Amino acid sequence: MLWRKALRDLRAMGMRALLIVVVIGAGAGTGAGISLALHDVERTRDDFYSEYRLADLDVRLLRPLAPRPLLRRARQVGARPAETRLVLSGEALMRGGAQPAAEVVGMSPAAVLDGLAVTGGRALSSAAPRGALLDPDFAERFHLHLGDRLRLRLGGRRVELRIRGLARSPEYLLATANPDYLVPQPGSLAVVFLPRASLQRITGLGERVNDLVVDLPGRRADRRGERLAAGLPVAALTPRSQQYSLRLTNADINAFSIFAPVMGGIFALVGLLLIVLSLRRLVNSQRRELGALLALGYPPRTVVATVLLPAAFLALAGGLLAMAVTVGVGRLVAAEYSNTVGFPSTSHALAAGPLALAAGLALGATLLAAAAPAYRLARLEPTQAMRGERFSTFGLSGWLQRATGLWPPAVAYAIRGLLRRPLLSAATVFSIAVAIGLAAALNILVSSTNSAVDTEFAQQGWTYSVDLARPLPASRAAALARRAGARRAEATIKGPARLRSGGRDADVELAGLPARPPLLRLGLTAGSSPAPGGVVVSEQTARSLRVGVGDELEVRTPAARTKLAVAGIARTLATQSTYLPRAQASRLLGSPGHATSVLVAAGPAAARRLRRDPAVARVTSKSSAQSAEREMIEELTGLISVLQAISLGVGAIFLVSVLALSYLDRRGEFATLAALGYGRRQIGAAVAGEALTQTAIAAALSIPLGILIASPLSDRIAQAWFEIGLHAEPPNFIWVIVLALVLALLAVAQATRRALRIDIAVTVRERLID
Amino acid sequence: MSEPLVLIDRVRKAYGSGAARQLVLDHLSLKMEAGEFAVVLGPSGCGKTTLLNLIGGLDTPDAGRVRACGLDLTNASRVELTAYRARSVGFVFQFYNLLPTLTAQENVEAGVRVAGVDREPAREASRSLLARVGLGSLGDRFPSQLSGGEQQRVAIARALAKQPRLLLADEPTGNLDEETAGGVLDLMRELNEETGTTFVVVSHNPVLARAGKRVVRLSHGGLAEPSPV
Repeated sequence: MLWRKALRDLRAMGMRALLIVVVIGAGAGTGAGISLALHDVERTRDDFYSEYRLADLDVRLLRPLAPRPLLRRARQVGARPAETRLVLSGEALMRGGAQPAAEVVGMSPAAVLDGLAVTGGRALSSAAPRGALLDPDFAERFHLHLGDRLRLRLGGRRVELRIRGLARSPEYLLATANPDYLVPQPGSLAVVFLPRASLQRITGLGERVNDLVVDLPGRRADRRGERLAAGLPVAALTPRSQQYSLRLTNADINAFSIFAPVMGGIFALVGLLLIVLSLRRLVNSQRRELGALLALGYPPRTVVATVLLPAAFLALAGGLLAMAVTVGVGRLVAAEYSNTVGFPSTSHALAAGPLALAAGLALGATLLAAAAPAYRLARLEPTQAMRGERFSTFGLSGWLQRATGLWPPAVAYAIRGLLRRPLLSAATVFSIAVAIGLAAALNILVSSTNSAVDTEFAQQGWTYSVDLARPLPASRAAALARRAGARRAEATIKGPARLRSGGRDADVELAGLPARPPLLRLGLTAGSSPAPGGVVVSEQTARSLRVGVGDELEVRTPAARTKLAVAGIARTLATQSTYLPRAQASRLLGSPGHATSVLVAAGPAAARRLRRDPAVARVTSKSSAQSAEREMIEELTGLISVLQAISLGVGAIFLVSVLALSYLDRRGEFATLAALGYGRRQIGAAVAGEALTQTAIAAALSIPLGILIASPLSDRIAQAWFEIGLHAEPPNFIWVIVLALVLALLAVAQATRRALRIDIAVTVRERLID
Repeated sequence: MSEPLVLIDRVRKAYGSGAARQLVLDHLSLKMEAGEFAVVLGPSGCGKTTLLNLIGGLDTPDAGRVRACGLDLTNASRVELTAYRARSVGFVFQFYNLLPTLTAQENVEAGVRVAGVDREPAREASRSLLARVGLGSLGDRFPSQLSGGEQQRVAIARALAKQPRLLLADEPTGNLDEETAGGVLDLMRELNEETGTTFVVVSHNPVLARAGKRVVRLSHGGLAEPSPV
């Protein structure tokens, strides 16, 4: 009998049942969907890096050498496979005069390590010596297409190639002209892949190579890598874990993995709240009927079962919908995220965890939400239960009654509609406020990141960063820049190192600066500038090593090992940089008295002259770095927009559901208004008044909530990327609020249409007040 | 000869379709004049409420014609029907249908303002009607704070406050005890006398026949006996 009743109850609920299922599905599924997206993103990363085999170790040499001795060394340390390449820095010569930095990778077309994922056109071929493959972000930024000519300057030589295809490699997945900065700048670097023999021929380097990539299977890979590099003129030794793209992808996914539970948790919380309120409302609407069952002598457990059975059907349907929403949201977010990072494809899997979470949340929350009021009802006296509950206690304090009574009846009716179920109204307002607040918080994060980038670049005194083709004595490097017309020049040296403190390691880039550097300005947040024996580390490095000012660090480079103290901590976008006096850095990096780059304060003419100098590999302007940085942040907003759309979409679903449920509860009242002669406009105004009041209160509440949500998220970004501070601005909120109001109006239009389609003749016969 | 206030002309109305189709009114014809107090009696399912809904412009017939207060309800637009309900007709429902979040006074006002009356005159009319139905001191109470009889009197006040030409009441005493029901009926009779408003009261309770100046008995979709016109 119970089964039959449950099924009939569900059928009688009709639209109400459907709406409750939607609330359950959206509430439980959105949070789990974000968790599934994280799973997919991690899988995409792993699949990509394993399919295209990011090398375990990349040894970049200061000057080209013959390949055979290098490969022999590699075999001796058990490297398998080992491949040699010729990697040269230069500039792309674009129409209109732009000269973005370029990196040309001469590799075997059959290379296994750091393989090419061709996203357009054809693969590398020895038969097409001038046929190059180009980074798709660069091609997009400069509107280059397959078959176009690509002109480069490599070490003073002009080279013309033809674009044969578009490709990414795991090494250059996030190609950037400024690897000092953790934030990538897609399209800022022309990554060009060419058959190695072609590049050797073009540059006249014979068979020589300057790059060795190896896999180091087996144990003690670190030691064997060091043995491989020992005695070689190493410019950079990059183990897989420190590879820029992987490091950045990991940092990015780490940020996302920190975001995901916060966002998922917020959605789940709001969803649970609405599930509880919707079910409570549903159970209470059956109060009279349950009272009758009690009066007929049914035991309380049967009464509870009477409620739980249809609730179980709703929970099951909601659980199925939640799983579908999980998959939908997961795929949408993962695909957008992969696209932002630049993965050629996205790997999807139906991970059991998030799906079980969605189903479990839906089932658990629904059954608990139904059981609690049912149990309470079952404990009432039958007469008490049969009296019904609807609005039986509605009343207002005198001032509230007077204040709301000042409005025309339809408006007063709308305003008081909110006070009728204060808990539900508060929950609805809160849910919408969280949805708006979350969307605004994401805006705050974007504008705060932009602001942090602008502040960092604004405080720097240099206008161009000049990478040298080979290390030069520091005085010569500075003189070279001054000769070209630079007003000021600051010779620096950079190279890889590993810091160790208290058993924790951090791979960093040492940056040797002159005393009191006038151009590179460190934003010190603690301690003082680099001094002999004292380094300045970034806030992130200090945090990962858990060191403060005065603590001791062990510094290891391929050439030396020493102990230094932390002199200061800096807030910087170049989170991997560790600063120390140039003399000390050059000794540690095995090139005493030398510099590898020069920061200059110079105009465009000097930059042009520098680019023509054969000792110069690459010249990057501060403004292009800054604008590329901003472009990257704008690209990230693609993902943010998806998250915002989900947030507002869920908010809209909640608003529509709550309005529709509210309408279903009050069909009789709308019918009465219609019978009294109230027309479409007035009934619409009553519905709109209620919804817009809720949305307006939610919009006001979303401002503090948005800041509250953005605060922990910005801390998470600081952990994963760099400190961004928190800069909330009115535009962060305005468009989200406007959009929320538009969505509310659409919801109102829908609810009004329903209200006006009522069969008045039938509905006026329903009891409004018990 | 002037047009009757209500003219029902060979009206047919059925619900459902196929085997479940149920003919509720079958070629029913009826006239009602201004100032009448007509009680429509009949067993459950005989079409009383359907008749009331047709007169009130809440429903339309499948065939035939309904005219009331000079308007052809059968062919009226939605806007015309809304205006007709707002200005010409007052409804009293079995379950009173007071809006639960408005006070008694505001409920009555809601019935007047919709007819286009300004706030102050509407307030005055509401107060006066509430006083007339004996609830002058309870205007600030919400419906849930009133008894069933009091709620029904508020509903009558709401229906009459805009001075409609026609008041339609569907089982107005169906939910009340005998004594309260008697009071409500007496009140409606008095108001009919005082205002000249035409009352059409529908009920299955033959006791109500004593209240009507005219009794219309329905049976199986038609008049059970000739109705004096």
